[in-house]
Formats: sequence, C-alpha cells, structure tokens
Amino acid sequence: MADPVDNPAVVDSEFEMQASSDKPSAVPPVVTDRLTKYYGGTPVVNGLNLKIEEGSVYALLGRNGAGKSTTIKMLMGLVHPDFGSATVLGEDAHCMSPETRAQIAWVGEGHPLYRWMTIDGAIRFAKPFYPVWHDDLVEQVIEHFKLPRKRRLYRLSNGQRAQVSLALAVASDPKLLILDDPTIGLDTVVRRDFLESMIQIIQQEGRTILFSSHILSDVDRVADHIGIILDGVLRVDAPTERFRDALRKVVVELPAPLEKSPECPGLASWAQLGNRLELVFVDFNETHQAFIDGLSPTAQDILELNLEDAFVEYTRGARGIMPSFAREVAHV
Amino acid sequence: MFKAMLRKEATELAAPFLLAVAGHVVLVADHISRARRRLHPQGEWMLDEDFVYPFLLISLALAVVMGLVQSLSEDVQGTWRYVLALPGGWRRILKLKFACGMVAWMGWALASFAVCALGLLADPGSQGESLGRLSEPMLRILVCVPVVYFGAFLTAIRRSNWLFSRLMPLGGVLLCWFTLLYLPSWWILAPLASCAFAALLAGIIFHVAAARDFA
Repeated sequence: MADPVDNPAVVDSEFEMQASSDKPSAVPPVVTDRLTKYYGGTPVVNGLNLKIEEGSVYALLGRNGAGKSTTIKMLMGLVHPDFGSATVLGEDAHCMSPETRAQIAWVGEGHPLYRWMTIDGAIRFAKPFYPVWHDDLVEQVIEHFKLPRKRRLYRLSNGQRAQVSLALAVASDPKLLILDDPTIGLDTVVRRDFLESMIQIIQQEGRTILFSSHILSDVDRVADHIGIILDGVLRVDAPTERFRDALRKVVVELPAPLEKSPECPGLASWAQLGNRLELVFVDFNETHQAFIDGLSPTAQDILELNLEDAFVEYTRGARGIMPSFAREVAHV
Repeated sequence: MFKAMLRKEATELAAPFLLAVAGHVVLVADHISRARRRLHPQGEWMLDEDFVYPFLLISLALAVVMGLVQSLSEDVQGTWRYVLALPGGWRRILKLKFACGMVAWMGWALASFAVCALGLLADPGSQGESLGRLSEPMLRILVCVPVVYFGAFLTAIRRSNWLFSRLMPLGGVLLCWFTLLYLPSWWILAPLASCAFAALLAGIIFHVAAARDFA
C-alpha cells in the first residue's frame, strides 16, 4: 500500500491555496491529514487534506464513487482510515467522546432511521442520547413541514423522511452538521425547502455545515466553499465563487482538425468535434490566449460557466476527439 | 438512553419472543391434554423427552433469532450508521444491546416457567409435585441459552465473503451448547462454563465491532 504523500496528485490542487484564507480560526471543526481509505486495493479516498473553518457551509462534490460518502463516514468514525487521520471538533474521529459526538448532527444518505417507528417514536428514541434537546426546534420543523407525527416512517415519502432527519439533526443544537447527500431522490420543491430550512435553522447561529451533493444548483445556492474529489483525491478546495469564476470555456473554429492533443498549463479539459475545438482553462490568462492564437483559429468565443457547467467541465476530464453522432441518411 | 434502547430492542424482539411463548403454550397444553388422557404418567410430562426436545428447539431458535435480529437487522435496515452516530458511542450501544438480550433471555426463562407452573396447576395428576424437580431439564437448557445468543450475534456482526465461514461461530457455539447440556454436575459446571463462554464471545464481538467498518 503506497504512502499517499508519494502521489503528486494529492498535493497538486490548483485551487487549494485559495481555501478558507478569509476566516482563519484557532481549531477548525474538521481537519483531515492525508486521510486514505482503500477498498480491494483501490484507493477510494487518497491523501485527503481538508480543513473546514467554523461557520462555513462546505459542499463536498464529486462524481459517483469519487469518495465523498467514504470521507464523511470516516469523519463520523463509522469507517476506519487505512492511513492518515481525521479530527472533528478537536478529537480523533474514530474515538470521539460522547460529549463531542453530541455536538455533531449527521444525516446519512438515504436517511437511515428505524422505519417501523412513528415520527413521535423516532423523536422519543433519539432524545435521551443528547444532553441538550430543543423540543421547540423539533416542533417548528414538524409544524413547518406538516409532518404526521403518528405515522410510521416507512409510510412517509422520501421527502418527509428527509424532513424528519432534519428535525432530529437540529434538535440537539449541533455545532457541526454533516449531511451525506441529504437531498438525493427529492423533488425540486422539497429539496429547496429542505436546504433553506437547514440553512435558516443552523446557519443563524454560525454553525458549520459539511454536506455532499450531486445537485449543483443547491450547492451554488447555499455553499460558501466547495471541495471537489476526483478518484479519491481532493482536486479543488476553494470558495464557491472563486471556482466558478476561475474556469473559462473557449470555443474555437480551426481551419483543420488538430492531429495531436493540445497541451498547455492550466488546460483542464478539451474536446474536438470536427473543426470545432472546446478548451476549458483554469484562470484564463495571456498565456492561454497566446496558445489559442498559435492554433490560428478562424473564430473564437470565450464563455463564462455556471457552477454546474464548471463542475462538469472540470471533472469529466479530456474527452479528446469526439465521435460524430449525426444520423446517417437512409438511402432507399 | 437505556430506556430508549430497551424500548427499541423490545419492540424488535417482541415478535420472535411472543412466537416462542405461543409455541411453548401449545407444547404445554398438548402435554396436559395427553396427561389427562392418561397417555403420560400424571405430573411427569415435564421430564418427558417429547416435551424437553421441542422446548430445547424453541429455546435454541429464539436465542439464534434474538442474536440475528439485534445485529443483522441493523445491517439490513442500514441503521448501524444511525445508531452508532448517536452520542452513546459504539461500545455503550453494544453493551445496551447485550443487556436487552439478557433481559429478553430472563423474560423467556420466567415466561416458560410461568407457563409450566400454570400447566401443572391445570394438571390434576401433578398435585404435590415440585416444580423445581420437574423443571430440571428446562433449567439445564435455559442456563446455556446465552452462549447461543452471543454466537448468533457474532455470526451476524462478523463479515465474511462466504456464508459457510460466516456461519462458523454459530456452528461452534451450537457444539458448545450440546456439550454443556450433558456436563456431569451440570448445576455447578454449566452456569460457570456458560458465563465464561458468553463473556468470551462478547469480547470477540467487541473486537470485531472495533475493527469493522459500518459503511
């Protein structure tokens, strides 16, 4: 098993230096040091160095299987790292004291609750575990979402179960809220309601939120920082705006298709379809413009990207020369 | 916290427990009916093999199901993650589960004796018979039940690629159990050996839980 520090990709994050420089704090709520996990000899999380500042809303992004959920499970002490360490609220994640654990709320993927319980039963079950429990907060969430208290959880919709999870999570007034893809499978309205309630309830008191998501519009709305994991490696750790603004897509028309792959520092991805070449650059500058001019384009267009497009372009990597999907004309 | 866990575990164990009690009631009722028809020596049905072996099977099945329900059902429902993320900590959660299992075991012992006592009252031929003397085979079985319970728990919590190797702890404890049943001077040795095996299995469960991922 290789030491992850040997892997240059681990420390080669183009956005890393931008992370969290605006609000330093004495003890960040979440710190990981070369956190690594292997499954079947493959690193699913590889040398992850993460530092989440107090009061921030941090979104962990990545494609399916990138290692987001495994990272979150390691932060909750549910999965053992094979290398490195994770510190949550100043304690080692794997041997957190009950007092520290009481200050963390976790909403797991798929909302793993006892589905045979009623909503009231789920509240009655969770409450005695916490030294502090705000019945009024639970009441507010249940009233807000009009949840049927006597109904068993297996009879609720996915959205309602997510809302119950949220009610249980916020009731202990946590310092840190960790959510693993909490809005997966929810419709747009419920998703928006869920996220807005979460932010309203937690963020008003300057709590820290770490969440993973696939829904970039949600992330854009609520997260002030993002981390992008690609194949287990943290490639981006930056304020959301900084990432969005850093990427530029340049579409050029060439007199003839390129014969070899374009190579330029800061080129995140490229795709070619016939004479049309699409290039995505990080921190587009004069060097990049000079590189494009060197291709002698007949036309050029520089596009700004929204977060979703920026994420897609950044994470899907080089597509190279694209096949043509044009339908052939049937000859009769 | 203990009450909340006890309530949850009691709800989850209620169905197999009630099923076992119902099976036991049927068994006792059948033997009383036979005793009344003079098919058994009056009052001696509790010592009869036809009663002892079905009771052994019911106790065995209940112990296995209790261990599996308490551990495997958390895996199947995906709720290990939830319950272990609660502030109790995994050690305390496991201890609470074991405590609930032991409470259920004592409940089963009490319920089975109560049903037998009622059966003896309903059996006119058992006047003056001592419940203590008649219930010796039952007691011998019940003393060894915790070993099977912990073995089933271990089987469920221990991950393995092959079903056969996963079932090995359960197979091992069943062999242990049958050995314990036939120990000489069982009233001294069986409780001691049962406690020692149960403690050993609980220790192994803690070790396995500390090492495994609850993903």
